[in-house]
Amino acid sequence: MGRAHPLAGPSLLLLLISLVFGCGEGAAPGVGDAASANLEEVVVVTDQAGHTLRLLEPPTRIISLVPAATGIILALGEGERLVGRTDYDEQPELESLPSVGGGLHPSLERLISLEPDLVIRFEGDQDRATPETLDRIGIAHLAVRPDRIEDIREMARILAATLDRGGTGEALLRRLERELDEVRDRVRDEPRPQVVFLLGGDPPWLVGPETFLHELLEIAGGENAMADLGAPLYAPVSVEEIAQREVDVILVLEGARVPSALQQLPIVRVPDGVESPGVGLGESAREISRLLHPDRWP
Amino acid sequence: MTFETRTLSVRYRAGGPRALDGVSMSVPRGCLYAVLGPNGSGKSTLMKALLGTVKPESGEALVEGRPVEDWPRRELARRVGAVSQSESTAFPLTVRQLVEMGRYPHLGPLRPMKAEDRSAVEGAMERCDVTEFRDRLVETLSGGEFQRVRIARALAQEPSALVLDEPTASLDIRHEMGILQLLRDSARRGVTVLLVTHHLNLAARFADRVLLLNAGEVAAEGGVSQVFQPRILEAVYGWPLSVTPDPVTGAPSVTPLPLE
Amino acid sequence: MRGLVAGITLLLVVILSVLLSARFGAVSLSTGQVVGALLGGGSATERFIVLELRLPRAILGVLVGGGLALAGAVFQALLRNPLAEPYILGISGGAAAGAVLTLALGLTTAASWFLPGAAFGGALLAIALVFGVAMSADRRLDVRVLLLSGVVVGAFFSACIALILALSESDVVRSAVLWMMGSLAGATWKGVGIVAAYTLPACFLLMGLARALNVMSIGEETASYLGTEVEGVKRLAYGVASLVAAAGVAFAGVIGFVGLVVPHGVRLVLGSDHRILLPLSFLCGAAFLTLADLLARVLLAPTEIPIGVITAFVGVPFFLLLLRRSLRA
Repeated sequence: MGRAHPLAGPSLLLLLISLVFGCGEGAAPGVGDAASANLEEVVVVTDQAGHTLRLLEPPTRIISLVPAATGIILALGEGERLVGRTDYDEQPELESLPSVGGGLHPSLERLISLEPDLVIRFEGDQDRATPETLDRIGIAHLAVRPDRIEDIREMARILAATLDRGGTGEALLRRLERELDEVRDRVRDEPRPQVVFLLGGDPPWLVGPETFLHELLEIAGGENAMADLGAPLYAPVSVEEIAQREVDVILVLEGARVPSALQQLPIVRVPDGVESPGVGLGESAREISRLLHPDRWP
Repeated sequence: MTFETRTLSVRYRAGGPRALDGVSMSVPRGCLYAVLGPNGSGKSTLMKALLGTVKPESGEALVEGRPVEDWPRRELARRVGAVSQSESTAFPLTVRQLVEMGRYPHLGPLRPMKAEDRSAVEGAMERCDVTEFRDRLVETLSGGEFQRVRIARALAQEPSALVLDEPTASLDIRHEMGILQLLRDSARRGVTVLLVTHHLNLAARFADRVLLLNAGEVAAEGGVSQVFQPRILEAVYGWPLSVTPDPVTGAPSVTPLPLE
Repeated sequence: MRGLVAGITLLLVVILSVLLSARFGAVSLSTGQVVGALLGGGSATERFIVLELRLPRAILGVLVGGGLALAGAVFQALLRNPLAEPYILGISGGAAAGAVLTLALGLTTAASWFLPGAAFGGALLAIALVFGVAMSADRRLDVRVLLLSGVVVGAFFSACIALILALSESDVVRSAVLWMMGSLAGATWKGVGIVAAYTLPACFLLMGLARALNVMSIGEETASYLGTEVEGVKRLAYGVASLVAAAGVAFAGVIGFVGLVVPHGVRLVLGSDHRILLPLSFLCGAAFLTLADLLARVLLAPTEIPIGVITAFVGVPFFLLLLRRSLRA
């Protein structure tokens, strides 16, 4: 069933009565009392913020605020359980679902009016209003973190456990491993170019060492030239700093601007979609590898 | 109300010159007392010291025998109406609103205006001839009109003493005479009037007692005829003067003489 | 009399604004559903949306909008400067610095009151610094020194914020910028209670100073001659008005423009007597911010426009209109 051992989380334990919302009754929302702990809990998972979610019923009305998670839910075949989406979910099968706005700071009114029994949200402090409000009304939520590949794997396992699709989940992850291994093997003996991976902006934002993009870059046969710069995730860096280094290639997202000082270097544009974390990691790794080592990919 | 200073010294800035140096003077009740002197002699400073807005370096300033810093401001404002040399309003106010502020010392923060307050305000505006302006914005008035409004405000306080710094500076003859006669009538009715002015002849004509300051020190104090002596005045004003009785009023009249 | 009529009208406008804020939002509910929820009926979801999301926001808008407008009027009188507004003494800079530091250190998960608490603390620190500098000379609050030290302290905190953000991760920067733009989105009844506890007594106290502010706006010397304990009034008024502004900023971020323009608008129509100006500025600011928040939520739903944008876009033309009419009169 997935991770059943609760970590020592902070003072919040999420107990939920999803029945109330499922039936549309006018009972007061709130935290479950001790009596419900004796009933059979069908879902017990610990999310990536360390909180343990205990549900008495499988969730049937899910809203995912995290596009990567949405992708995984669809890949697990549970798309019908979704009752809402964000503005950033562009998959055609989700078009008919109402949008709650952005993944961060969604419209709480819209979110709540859709009466979900589970909300998948971003872990972290960027948006505290959403989890606080969900707690007040008693809607369960799972925090996920699509930062590194391992985080994405963990997210997939948590979602699979929550949706009782453990088998499908494991299959997806095995396929991902195969795809990543394949890319690694192809470029194993190739010289590794020093790459600067730009995300746009001025001063330009770069990919840091604790992100999946950095890991994909390494799998794809490149070296992140800016990995030692101190910021683990994504951070702006001055152009002079970049220019000082030995850079072989600049990878830049489709549509992002390259600062003029760096335009002397070889620039390779990465197609849209690569920067989105989720089920398509294998394809993203292949894409990047093709751009860095074209001769290994006839 | 009586005013008194005892060897009062005031220095605005440490290390700077004294604005007042050992000034002792006394204003009896019901007296129209003029403070004269050239520019920078300390006239305005004396007024501020007597009203407690400037702290002395040494010596005392007393109001009704009490040191002025011992007076609660509101109580002092109920008894003394003061008109400083100039003021400006930061925001639009009507004349009536400005004169009504003269009742604040009696009303305090909360008590609304009653009939007696309104009649004090109306009466004050009438005596200063500004009733016709009551609903006009203060910023639309001329310098002289504004000054009369401020004097009306002081009168609306129904004070036992009036302290005024150059109150007739921008006024035309009609209004200047009107105000001075009003001040003399007030003095006759027991209101102590302390008048700072550089208008020598007007002071000679209306004042009961005179204080002549020079560079922060007392040059002379006493009745008009005592102080209005050519030697005394010339020493202070640094210009040859002749002092003769005015043919109409009989008061001493000062005439600056041409320099040879 | 005009003041009384205007006051009653504005009070009705405020009540109407609150009701409209309950009626409209990112989700369409019918009037029947909203009324039902207000009376305690309806589904749990409807009740939550109306009573836990919309209503506390509306009340927070009343308190913060009213408080900022009132504080703005008080600062304008004390500083004798029509350009004064509640943040002029560095309050917004201090509050923002406190908030940004809390976000950067990741302390917001520790307790939900950390962020407003830190923002409030930062605002108090700014006030203490500004007054400390201004009073260092001779225990008096000199207006010119206050203004100058307000500018300097504000600039110092801006530099601190820039430094913190330069060293922070992207998510912190985003959160900080969003916070600084101001929003009523995080309103809870508990937060509303805290803001009310600061704002309401403070506003009553400041309104009691109305006559003192009338004379202070003419000049400190004249105010003194008319019986005002000038230094005492200054300390009380600056202190309390700063607290009101600080409480507003702590819970709603830096919402500009309300504290500057609302008192002016009221002054243009009803004059500068603070006995009318203060309560009516409160009511006008309350209605203004609540309605602005309604527009912010509804215009581009489900996206929320930052409320400072609405206050500027709506307030500026309205104010210019008033100004032209008064200049022509």
